[in-house]
Amino acid sequence: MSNGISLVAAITIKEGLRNRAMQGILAIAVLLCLAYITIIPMFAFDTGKVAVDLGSAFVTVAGLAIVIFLGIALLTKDIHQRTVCMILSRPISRTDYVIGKYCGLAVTVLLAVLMIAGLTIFTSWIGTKLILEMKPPRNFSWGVLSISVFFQYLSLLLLMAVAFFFACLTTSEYLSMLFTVGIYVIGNSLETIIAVIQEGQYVKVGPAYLAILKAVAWIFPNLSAFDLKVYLSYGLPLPWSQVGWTAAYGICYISLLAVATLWIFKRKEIT
Amino acid sequence: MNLIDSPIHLHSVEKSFMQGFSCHKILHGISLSIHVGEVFGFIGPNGAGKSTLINSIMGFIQPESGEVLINGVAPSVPQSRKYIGYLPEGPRFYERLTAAELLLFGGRASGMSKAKVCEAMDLLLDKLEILNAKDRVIGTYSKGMKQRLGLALSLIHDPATLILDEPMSGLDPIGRNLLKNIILDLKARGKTIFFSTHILNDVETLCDRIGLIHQGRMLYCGDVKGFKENGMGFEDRFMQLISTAGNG
Repeated sequence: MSNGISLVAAITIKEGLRNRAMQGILAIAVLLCLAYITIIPMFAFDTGKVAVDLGSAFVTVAGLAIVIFLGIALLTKDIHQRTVCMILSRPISRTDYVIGKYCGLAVTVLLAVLMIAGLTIFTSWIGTKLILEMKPPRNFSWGVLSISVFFQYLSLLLLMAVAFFFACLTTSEYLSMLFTVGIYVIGNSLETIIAVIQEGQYVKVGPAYLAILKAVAWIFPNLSAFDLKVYLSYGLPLPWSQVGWTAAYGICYISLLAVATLWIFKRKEIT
Repeated sequence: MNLIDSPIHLHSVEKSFMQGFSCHKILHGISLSIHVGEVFGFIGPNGAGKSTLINSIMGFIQPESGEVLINGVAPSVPQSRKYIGYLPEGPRFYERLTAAELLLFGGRASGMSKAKVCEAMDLLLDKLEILNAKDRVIGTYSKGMKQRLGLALSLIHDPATLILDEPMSGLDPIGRNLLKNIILDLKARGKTIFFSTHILNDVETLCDRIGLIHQGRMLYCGDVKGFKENGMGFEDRFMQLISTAGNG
């Protein structure tokens, strides 16, 4: 890693971890984890599945909030308030700046995800001691849990790449947030919508409409592919080839977005 | 003139911005060469194009035509900025970093070792009278303190050339006096200084040469003495050139 990238990443991590939005999001996540112990006993059966679903949801919501409120805010503030001049007036290239910023935020999000995941696991463990009905999911595996958390993190990295792309493309922080949230919603639901339409039981559309939807699915990131919690909560074996292809898909999509973001940012006028 | 003798060199620089559907020209063929070791004051009324020209020199914006060179290299090359210290107008920083962390970043990014940055940092902050705030987060600084910190950041790697955009703005009279003394000290050490300002008094006392820009056109470029024609005061001559150009 070049000196410029590591220096930009280091100050981004410091700035990110000290940000009030980050601290607020983490505080809410901690409260949710505590509330979790009170929610679980409300379910009569499948408490293990409920615990996995809730824990996974906390990680996703907190990670998403960090990407949206911290990632976009830090980058757009840098560009539109000209904080970036402080960095680009040094012998640091625009490429190093974008990559450094991305790496710094990736580490910040990783720390947050690890903290929330760790806290959720700890709360679940306490739950199994305090609540008689609460049992771990069938065939529980730490390996599958780790892979599931990793893929949640990978989907957040992909979303962050989307956020970076829009932050460089648009002139407003709110537009970047709106577009990123839009991509998140589409990315999580498009596959399900296509599956429901293809089944033909509930919705019937023309073949042209379905073809358009399928074409659109190639453009938008398929974020639902990164959701592996079903394997964890039902104790199912992981389809390794699918896992491998999903990881490759995520890395390729992030790389393509990074190339597009760099292309735009190198031409961007900082006035 | 050899380009190496000219740390900042501009030739026929033109720049426009889009305003709605119309194209608004900001710089009209600006040519300028700054000599090694001189203090060059860049003056002009608001909206004259001073900051746009500085942004072009720093590579933040790309001119449509013409040539900009820093130490003989285009500003798009990161290494061209290694020996440049830059203070933007109303500098913005990462508000949750401390001054020490910011200066460490600045020094390390310019190729200094951590030990050297720490050594230079204390001397510099002491000189700028903000040493006591070294470990405070920048978000708690006043406007004047931020301006001083911006200057410290531009000086931390002891650059050969300084580009200062409105360095006096946000400073109280004590701060201005301090900055004047620093510029004079840097001049005595042979540093090249290029700064833009509205304050004509400072230009008269500090600069070897000046450039007057109005509506994107260079109206005057030369030494300070030559600027004051027929015993006219500095401000009167400034007003005369601006109004003549406006009528023309």
